[in-house]
Amino acid sequence: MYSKELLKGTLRTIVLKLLAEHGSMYGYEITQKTKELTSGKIVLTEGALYPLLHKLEAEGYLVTNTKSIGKRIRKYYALTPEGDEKAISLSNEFADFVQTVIYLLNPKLSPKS
Amino acid sequence: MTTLNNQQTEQVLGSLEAHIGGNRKLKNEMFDHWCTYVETHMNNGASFEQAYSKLKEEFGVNELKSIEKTYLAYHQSSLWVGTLQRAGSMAAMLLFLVVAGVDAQKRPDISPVFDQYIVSSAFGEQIHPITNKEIHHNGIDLRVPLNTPVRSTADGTVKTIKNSPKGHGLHIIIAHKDGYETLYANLSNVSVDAGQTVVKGEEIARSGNSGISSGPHLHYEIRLNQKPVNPKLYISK
Ligand SMILES: [Zn+2]
Repeated sequence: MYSKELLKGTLRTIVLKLLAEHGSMYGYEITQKTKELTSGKIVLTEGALYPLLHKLEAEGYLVTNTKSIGKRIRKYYALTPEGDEKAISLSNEFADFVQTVIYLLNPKLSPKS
Repeated sequence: MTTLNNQQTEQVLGSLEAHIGGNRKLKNEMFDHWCTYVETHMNNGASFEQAYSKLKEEFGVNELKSIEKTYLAYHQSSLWVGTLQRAGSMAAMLLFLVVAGVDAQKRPDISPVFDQYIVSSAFGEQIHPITNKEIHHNGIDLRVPLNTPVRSTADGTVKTIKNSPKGHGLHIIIAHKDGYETLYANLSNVSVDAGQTVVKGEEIARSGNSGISSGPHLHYEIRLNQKPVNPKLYISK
């Protein structure tokens, strides 16, 4: 499991990207999917996830839809077109960042300039 | 999938309410989260009692307090923290991101017509053009000439082709991935068959004036898990 500090800046990217891939999802589903895809190496806690989802919704990147299950209300999140674009730009930026850091830490791997 | 009975649901709600403060939005979601957690464990063979005590073990009082605290802190915190020393873990994350690539064909995010259009009736509370009563409009009406080509707004399967003279007229429902469905109504002509798969952008029909309609237009709806959502928020191209 990775540290909170490391994950903090990437949660947004992870959540948007997951929704881009899987369409509409509810909170529990997002935590389970993340666990599954990363073999348990990335664990999204509820404490980080729900506030982030609400923030992304307020920013216009997500729309919500609810479904009643008896007394419970299940809230599904999906990307707006803006969210879709954001998912692409954040993950591209992140992939680029990772590549840069890999070169920085392993100069031998850098393409010769 | 196991679903908790009323008594079990009440028990989960009771312990949640004992620990969480006034944020209603958060409480509703944590309620579903906790119930689903218990159900998942019961599905994997645990009894309700076992699953419930595992829940309490995993989300102590402190966890809930910290959720509420994070909630408050979130609006002030900056999200991007680049920690250079931990680049090894970053590489693992990159792999994860590559695996979960975006597939843009799935979501209905294009206009159902090829050309420019005018929205003659928007989504939400509207005055019905014929009855003059205020009703919830489940889609948008695009004012387009008769026989304008109509296209599927995402990859999918034709679920329904039907004619309802007292409602949507000749209409098509297409089922897409992840709980999305789109409806195209008041058509004059349909060029696909029920059960057929279609790709994003494929012509499926021609627009018309069938059913209850005050003039040639295309009524277009997007439904997410059976509930109408505002198509304007989806049409990006
Ligand atoms: Zn309409």
